[in-house]
Order: sequence, then structure tokens, then C-alpha cells
Amino acid sequence: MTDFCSTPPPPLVEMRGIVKRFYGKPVNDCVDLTLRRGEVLALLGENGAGKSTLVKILYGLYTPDDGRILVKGAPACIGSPRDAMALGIGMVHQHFTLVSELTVAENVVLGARGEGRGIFLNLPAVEKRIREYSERYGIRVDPAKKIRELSVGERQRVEILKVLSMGAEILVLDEPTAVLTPREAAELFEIIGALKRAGAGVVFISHKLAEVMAVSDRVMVLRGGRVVLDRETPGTDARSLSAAMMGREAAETAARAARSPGGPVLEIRGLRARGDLGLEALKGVSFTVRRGEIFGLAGVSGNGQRELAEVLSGVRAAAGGEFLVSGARMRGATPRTLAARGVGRIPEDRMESGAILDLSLKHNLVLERYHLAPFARGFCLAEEEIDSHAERLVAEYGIVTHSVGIEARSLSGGNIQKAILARVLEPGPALIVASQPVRGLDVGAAALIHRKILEERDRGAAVLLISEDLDEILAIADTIGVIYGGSIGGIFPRVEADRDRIGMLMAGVREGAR
Amino acid sequence: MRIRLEKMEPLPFRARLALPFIAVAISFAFSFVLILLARANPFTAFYYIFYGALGSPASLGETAVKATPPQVAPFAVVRIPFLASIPFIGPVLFEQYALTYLAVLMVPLLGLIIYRTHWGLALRAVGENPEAADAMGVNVFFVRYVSVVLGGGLMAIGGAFLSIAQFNMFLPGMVAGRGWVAIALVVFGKWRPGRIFLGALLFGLIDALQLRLQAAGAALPYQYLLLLPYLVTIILLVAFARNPSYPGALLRAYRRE
Repeated sequence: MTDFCSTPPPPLVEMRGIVKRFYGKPVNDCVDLTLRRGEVLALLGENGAGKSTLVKILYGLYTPDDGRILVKGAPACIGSPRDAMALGIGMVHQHFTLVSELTVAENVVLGARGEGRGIFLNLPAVEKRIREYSERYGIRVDPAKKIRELSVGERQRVEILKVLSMGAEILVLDEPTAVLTPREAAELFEIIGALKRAGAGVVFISHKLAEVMAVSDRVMVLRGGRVVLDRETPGTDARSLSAAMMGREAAETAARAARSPGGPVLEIRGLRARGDLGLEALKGVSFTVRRGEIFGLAGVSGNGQRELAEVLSGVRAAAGGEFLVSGARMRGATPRTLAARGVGRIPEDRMESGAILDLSLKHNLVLERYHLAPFARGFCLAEEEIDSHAERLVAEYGIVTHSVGIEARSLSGGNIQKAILARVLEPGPALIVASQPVRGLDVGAAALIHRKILEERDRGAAVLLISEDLDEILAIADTIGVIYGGSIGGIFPRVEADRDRIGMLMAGVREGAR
Repeated sequence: MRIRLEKMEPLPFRARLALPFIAVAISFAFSFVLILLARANPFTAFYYIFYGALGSPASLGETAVKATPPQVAPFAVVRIPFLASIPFIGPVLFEQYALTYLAVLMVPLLGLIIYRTHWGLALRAVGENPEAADAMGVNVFFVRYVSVVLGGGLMAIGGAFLSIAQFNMFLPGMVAGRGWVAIALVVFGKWRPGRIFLGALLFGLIDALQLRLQAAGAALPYQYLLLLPYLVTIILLVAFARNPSYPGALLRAYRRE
């Protein structure tokens, strides 16, 4: 069996026929992945396409239900991140695992195990090693600084250093640019280039087509847990990648009759806001939502939609611009003022800011109006009014519960969302801001919520529907806007909407650039 | 710690040895509730243990008193030859209880352990961000366990100093809230041994001062003098600890997801 022909060295990683199911639902369905030395592989796909699951399997965070993994040609059993690190696989997560009160060097030592270390720290040696890496790969960071003094981009570089100092040759970067400024992202791409030249293999997860085209050697697109495209990057283009990501089979044909909405209810003018990390999350957003219109805002998560919903709900301060509700300036208004003005809000994180889980269902149903008649009688709560109100809503919205006095915590996610919907719709709002209203819900609950939103629209409410699920938006929106990188990439009526075009805009390819 | 105490003591005596042991047992129980059960709010765990422990020295002390005569051979003052003969500073610095020398030695020793060893790095990481430490392969539970138990042992020696060295007797409540002062000093010292030592010296100074004032027959009622060190502690905390740098995971239970 001796083969005298020069066989190419085995790939760094081969994943063969990987299957992973959650609750019986396949998230990775027979996925193959190959990563060679000196190669940057981009993993593309919508949320829930199975990218994160796949790399978590590679990093030992999940165990696959089927399939096998070969590292440098040898079968590998990766049961934990420690096993992965021992095989030279390192991962840089979106959420950094750094201790902010420690220095860069101390964080690097903390991760480094073994290598005949004694009792005492040898920080000068570690700092020297960090400087060597810094020079070799162009990773600029001061090893003596504390993490809390560093910018987000620098922290990410520390994560990369940490992984490298553990001897990783295979780097998995999970949406590394999501938290970076464009300048920092450009520096990251230079580092990736240097790693590649040094013979490392990089798996790069992204939603952004432009980045993928710029950085990767090969692209793999996942949709619904399957590989739908695996090709050298030069042999592809943004349009075909976007088509592969979105899928064509669900193309909507039944274009509904164009509706004629009424006057403006929500007018957003040049709205700007900062995100949790202080980066600019909204960069001058302007659009209008009219009476009797569902405005569907499509976009991949993390492009400013959460911040937009929070500003419109009065829980995040705007940094600039203005928004009007029924003609009144509302920037800086409190949530209570907004509610009084007829703004109904269905927040993205229903368990955190949509309901108070330790309160009873009936009290959750009056959270925004408990201080008003008929639910308040002087300083007291009118419990019998609250009870009968709750009984009525439970029947109308099909909330499954034994009693209205039960703690909200004991309800299922779908029933909590129905309760939030009931609370929001009951006063007959002029504007409804609904963020991801059916995410994670079963089909029945989702259908009910969509039906109710459509009824509100027909009643004359203006609806801003924020969703990462393009199908949801195509199904019920009248007007579609796309948000990318904190700006609106395009707005068109539903009848003119084209899945490909929206997909390109969601991935940051600008109109006219194709 | 046990070995150390045995070596130092001229006369082994059960009740005396029992004190630090009981404290270690209590800190074991505390760390068990705190770390293993992990769901417990550390405050809740603390209050249970604290009020449980509050009564035990008194009741245990009483049993001991009934069974045996109350006299306990104390730690003798250790006089370091020659150095102790230096006028004025000699007796201050070189004529102290063995436990006092130990306390002073612990300051650089703990500083070395915390800031210069791998164990200390793991300890700081676990106290600041256990999630990150865990992700980097540090055994968070083990580090927390050992630290809480050893810390309890050190505190026990501190408490035992009062009864078996300084006063040579046991009275219920004789610690007089010094444990709380210790916590305040840790906050004041920003968790750094050197700074904590300075704070402790200051507290000791005021305490010594009020004793001298009492002895000298100051016009103030003695209750006011007793109050003095605690008052200074409060003033210190208010004045210098406005920006306390609490460890990120202070009083936070850690549970793996």
C-alpha cells in the first residue's frame, strides 16, 4: 500500500457527516467541513442556519449525534474545549472571556496550562512572548495593560493572543466583526492575513457578504442545517451567496394587493443612538409608518434594530435626531408617556422586559395601566376589576392557564407572549412596536399573534414589525425596510419586494453595487 | 495551621485548640453552602452561618468552663534577644506575642501569594470573573473552596488571639465586632494586603489610645472611648472608600450553565 507519489498533507480539519439534533430537530444535518493549512474558510448563513452549532461541535462544546472529526488526518474525539485546545483548536467567542481587572499578560497566563510552570508567575517572560506574537502577526496590544483599559478591538486581539499562546493552529472566529468598528475590523483582517501566511487555518463566521468576499479563500453557506454551497471565494459573488443564504424555494408569489395606508403615525427623522458598548448603533435612521400599515424592518441581528426598538420604547436615550408619534415629538419621553400617547410595545426579550415573571398573570396584564382607572381606586388596586379584565383577555387571546392569579413564571413562552400581546393591544394603540414577536414560539401561537397584528392593522393601527425572519416580514408586512449597520439600506412596498434584493441589502451589499 | 499552633504552644489544651478548629468547620459549612449548593445567595448563607456561629463560642466556652478550670496558659510574649533591648522601639517591635509576628509576616507572604503565584492569579480571576476563569480551565469551585476555608482559618487565629494571647480569658462577645472592622478594613484597603495592614495599624493605634486614655482617667465616660476606634473606622470608610474597587464576583454565587 506504499504510495510513492507525493501525497498532499492532510487537511487541518475534516468534519464528516456531522449530525446534531436539538429536541429531535436537526440543526446540523449531515454537514461536511474541510479546512486546509493557510486557508480562511468563511461560514455564512442566516441566524439558526447551524453555523454556531457546527463550530461548537468542533470546539467540544457540543457532542455530535453522528459523524466524525479528523484533525490533521487523525480521528479526533473532542469532548470538551480542553480537548480541542490540546488538538490546536482555539475559538474566539463573540463574548470575550477576559478578566477585566487583570493585565493582558495575566489573562494569557491564566489560559496557558502545563508547560512546566512552577509556583511563581513569570510575567516578564510572558510579556516577551506576547511581544513576539505581536510582531509576527501584527497584533498590537500592550501586555502590561489591564483589560478594562482596552478598547473592544484590543480585547479581541487579546483573545486571539490567548488562543495562539495555547498553541492553536486552527482558529474559529465567531462573528468577530460584530462588535468592531470598521477600522478595527480592517486591522483584524490584517491579523487574519498574517495568521494565514504563517500556516494557520481560520474559520470565520459572518453575516456580512462584503467581509466574506474580502477575507476568505473559500465560502461555505449553511441553510436549515445543511451545506447549500461550498466554493472557492473567487469563483463566487455576493449575489449567488445571498441567494444561497436566503433560499429561493419559498419565493412569495401571491403578491397581495397594494394597500392604501393613511396618514403618518410614526415619523423617525435622522435618529441616532449608541449601543451598550458605546459604539454608534443607529446612524441617522429615517422612515415613516402610516395608519393601517405594517412596516417590516428586516435585518440580521445586531445591526441596530434592538437599539431602535429601545429608543422608540423610551428605555434608551437617543444621541440625535427625533421621532414623532401622531405628530408629537417623543424623543426623551418616558415609557409611561409613550404608553399614554398610544404606543404599544412588544419587546424583544419577553422574559426580561416584557413581563415580570414573579407577579401574577393578572397583574402582568395591567402593568402599564395599574395606576389608571378602572384598575386603580385611589392608592389601592381594584382587584375585582383586574380579575375580570384578566379573565376576559385570557379567553380572548387563548392564554392557557389554570387561573389568572398564577405566577407568570409558570406559563409557557407562547402564553407569556400572548399575555404581552393582550396587554399591548387591549387599549387600542395607535402604534405598535413589535420586536421579534414570534421568535421561538410554536406555530399555533405564532399564527395567533400574526392574526392579531393583522387585525390591529385593519383597525387602523400603525405597526413597526422588527424581525430577523425574512419570511415573517414577507408574510405580513405592507412595506419593507432593511436595516444594516445602523442605517436603512432600502425601503420598498411589499408588492415590489424581491427576496434576493432584500437578502443582499441585509448582508450589506448596497443598491447599485451588484 | 494546626501544626503551627501546636509548635507555638507551651501547654496543649483542648479548649484552646478547639477555637480555630470550630472556625474552620464553620467556614467549611459556609463554603459548602456558598459554593457547592451555588444556588444560595451568599448573603443568606452568611446570615445563617453568622447567627448560628454567634451563640456557639459562648455555649462551647461555658461547657469548657464547667468541665475544667478557666485558666488557660497563654501564649507567652516572645522577646527577641538584643533587638528588644533597643530603647523605645525595641519593646514595640521585638517583644510581642508569636501570633503578632505571624500576623505581620502574613502581610508580605499573602501579597506574594496573591500577586506573584499561579494560585494567586487563579484566585484573583475567580474573584473577578468566574465565568472567564472557568472558560480558561481554572477549577473555580476548588479555588473558591480552598480560599474560603483558609480565609476562615486565618480569621479564626485572629479571634483566638484575643482569648489565648492578649486577654488570657474568654468572655462571650469579647470580639466586640472586630470581625466587622476587619471587613471594613478590607474594603478600605481595596483587597491589597499592604493597605489593609496600614488600616489595621491605624485601628490598633486608636484602640490602644482609648485604652491609655481610660487608664489615665479621662473625663469622658469610658463608653465614648470604647466607641472611638469604630468611629474612626466609619470615618475612614466614608472618606477613603468612596470608589471602592470591589472584586467583580464579590458575594456572587457561581453556577455552571
